[in-house]
Amino acid sequence: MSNAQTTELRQIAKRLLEEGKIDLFIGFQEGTLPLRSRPAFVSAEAATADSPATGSPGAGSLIWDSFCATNLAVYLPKYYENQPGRRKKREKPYPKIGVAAKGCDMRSIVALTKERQVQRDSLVVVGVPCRGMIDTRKVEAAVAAKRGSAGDGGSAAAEEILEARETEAGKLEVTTRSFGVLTFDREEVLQDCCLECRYPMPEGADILLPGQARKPGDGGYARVERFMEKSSEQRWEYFSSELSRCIRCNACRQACPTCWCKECFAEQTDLKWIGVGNTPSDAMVFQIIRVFHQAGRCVECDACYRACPMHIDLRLYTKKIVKDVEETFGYLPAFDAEALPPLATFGDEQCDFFITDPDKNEAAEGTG
Amino acid sequence: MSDNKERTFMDRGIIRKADIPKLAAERRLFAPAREGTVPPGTCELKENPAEIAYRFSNTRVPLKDIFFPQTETMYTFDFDEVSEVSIPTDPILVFGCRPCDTRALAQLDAVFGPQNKGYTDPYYMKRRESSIIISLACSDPCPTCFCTATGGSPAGTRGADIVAHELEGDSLLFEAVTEKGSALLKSYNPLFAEAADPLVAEVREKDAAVEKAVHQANNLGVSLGEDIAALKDRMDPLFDKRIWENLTASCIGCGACTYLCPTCHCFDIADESRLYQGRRIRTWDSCQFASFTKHASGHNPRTNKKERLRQRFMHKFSYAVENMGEVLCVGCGRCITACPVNLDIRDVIRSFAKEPSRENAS
Repeated sequence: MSNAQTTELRQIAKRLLEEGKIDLFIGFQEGTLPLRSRPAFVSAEAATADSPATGSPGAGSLIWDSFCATNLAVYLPKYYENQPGRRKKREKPYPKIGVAAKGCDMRSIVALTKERQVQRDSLVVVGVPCRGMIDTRKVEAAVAAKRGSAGDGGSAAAEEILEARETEAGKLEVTTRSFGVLTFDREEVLQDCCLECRYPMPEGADILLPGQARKPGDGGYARVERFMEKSSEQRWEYFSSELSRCIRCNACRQACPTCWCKECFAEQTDLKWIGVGNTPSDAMVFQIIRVFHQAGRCVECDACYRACPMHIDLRLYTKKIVKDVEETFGYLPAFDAEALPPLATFGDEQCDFFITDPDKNEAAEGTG
Repeated sequence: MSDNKERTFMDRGIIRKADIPKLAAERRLFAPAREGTVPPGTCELKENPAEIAYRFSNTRVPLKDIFFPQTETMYTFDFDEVSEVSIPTDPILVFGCRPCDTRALAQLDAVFGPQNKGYTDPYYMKRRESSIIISLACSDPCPTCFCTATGGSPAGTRGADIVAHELEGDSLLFEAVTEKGSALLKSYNPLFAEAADPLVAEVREKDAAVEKAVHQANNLGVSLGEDIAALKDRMDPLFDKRIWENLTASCIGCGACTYLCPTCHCFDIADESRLYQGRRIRTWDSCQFASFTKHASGHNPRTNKKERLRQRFMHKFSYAVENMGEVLCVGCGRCITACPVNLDIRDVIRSFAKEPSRENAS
C-alpha cells in the first residue's frame, strides 16, 4: 500500500528514530488477514531496515490505510509495565515514544495524560487526519448477505474474503472465493464510530500528516434515543442476549486505552467483587462496571467492540454513558488537556439528583 | 504422531442428513448450528439444534467446551455441609465438529485421562467415556487453517469415533474409526446404505486435494507431524532472548486466543460465597492474564506480557513435547481470527522455523 500518508509517515518515523528524538515508533504494518492492518513497533536499530530475524519491523514497513482501526493509545500505559532488567519507572526516565494517532487515539492520549498514565512530553504524536476506518464486520456481513441471496451457494467454509484493497477512487475492492471481486463505497462499510465521529482531526499532535479528514459526524446520540424508546423488557432481552455469548476473555477491557487499572476489580481476590466464570450474572456485572468506569473517559473508538471474538455489541451502552455525561456535566473528552473529567472533580455545590432521582434532574437544574 | 497416514476404518455406510438426530435417540446430541448471532462463517455446537449447519468453517467455541466446560460447579456448601455435585453422565453424541478439534480432544484425553501419570480428572473423563464423536471432514478449509503443519489433516481421524464426509444429495459417508463408532453404525444399521468402493475412493481423492491445498496455503516451514521437536529445539535456547519482546510487542493481554484454543486446558478453582451458601467452581484460566499463577503472597513468576505470551507458545511447542510427546496446537487458526491485534501464531512458528540467526542470539 503506497499513498501520500504512508510515504510521509515512514519518512517522519525514520527521521525521528535516526535523530534520536524517539526510542520507539508505534504505527501500523500490513496484517496477515484481509481488512486488517496491525500494530507495528519500530525500534531505533530497525529504523532503516526490517529485521525479520528478530521479528522487528523497519520504518519501511509502516503503512497507513483504512484498516488501521486499532486505538494505539492502548499501548502507552502498558508499555511501562514492569519488565525484567528495566528498573522501576520512577528511577528511569520514560522512553521517548513516537505514535501515529487518529482523532480517537489523540483523544485517548489526552485522557491518559490527565490520568497521569502517559507523559505527554515523552511522546511525539504524529497526527493523521482521519478519513474513517473500514469496519471488518460490515464487510463480512455484506459478503455473507451476498451469499445468503445466492442460496446456500458459495464455498462451504464461509471465510469468504481472500483479499481487500482500497482504490484511488475511495472504493473498497474485496476479493471473495465465490463471488469474485465485490466493490463497496467506503461510506457503506465505515465503522459506525467513524461515521458518527465528531473529532476526526487530531488536534494538538506534534506533527501532522497531510490529508483531508472526513467531515465531523453528529455523535450518533439519535441511536441511543431510539434504543431508549424500547421497553425495559426489550432492552433487557438485548443485553442478556448479547452477554449470553461472553466468554470472559477480557478482550474488550484489554483493547480499551482507558482500562489501564493495574489490577482490575474483576481480578481482585482479597475482596472479591464478582466470580471468574462465564455465569451470566458475572458476565453482566463485569460489563456493567466496565461500561460505567468509562463515564467521562470513553472516546468512542469502539476498540471494545472490535476486540470481542464473540461479536458482542455493547456500543449503545457506552454511548449512553457518553451522552449522559455530556448532557449532565457538559463534558466530552476531546483535546483540551486542562478540562477535567467529571468523576475527577467534585464540588460541594454539585447536586446529586442525577444519581438519586434522575427524573428530577431537569427540575433541579439551575438550583443545584 | 501424524494422523495423515494411519487411516484404518472399521465399518462404513451412507446416511441421510435428516437421519442424524435419530442416532441420538438415547443421547444428548450436540451439532453445529447458526442460531443467534455468530460471526459469518462460524457456528456453535448446540444441543438439539433445530437445523444442523453444514456450511461453516469451524465452530467459534471449540469442542473442549462440552467436556471441559468454562464454568463447572464441583461442590456447593452452606454452614452445615459440603455437598459434592454429581458429574453429569448422560451419554453424549457430538456430530459435525472438525477433525482439528477431535485431534485436540485426543490431546486433552492425554492431559485429563489416566495416562497423565495416573491422575484422572473425573469431571472430564466421566463425560468423555460416555461420548461418541462424529467429526465432519473439511472440504473447503480457511485461509487461516494450518493443520497439516502441526501433523493433522483436514480429514484426520484422531480423536473421532466416526469420520463423516458430505456427499452429493444430502447424505453423508460415515466411516468408523473406533469400536465405539463401529458399534453405533451396527446398532443403527437400518439407517445406513452401503458405501461402494469407487465412492470411497473418490472421497479419498478429494481429501488428498484438500490436504494439499492446506499445505500449500500454510506451509510454515516446519512439519511438526514428522519432527515434533523441530520448534522446541530452536525455541529452547532462545528463551531469554530479545526475539520474544519483538514477537509479543503488540499483545494486549486478553485471553481470546487461549479461551478459543481447542487444546488450551489451564483451569482455576475458586470459591464463590453468598450470604448463607456458596459453591466451589472450576473455570477456564488463561496464561495471558495477570492473575495467572499469581501466588498467595502476591508474587507472580510471570510479571509481564512477554513472559506470559512466551509461556503460551513454549507450552504448546516445547513443554508439551517434553511432557506429552506432541505439540499442543492443531492448526485450527481460531487464535488468528480472534486476536484483536492480529498477532499471528503462524508468524511465531515461522520465525522459529528459520535457523536462529546471530541477531536472534543477541
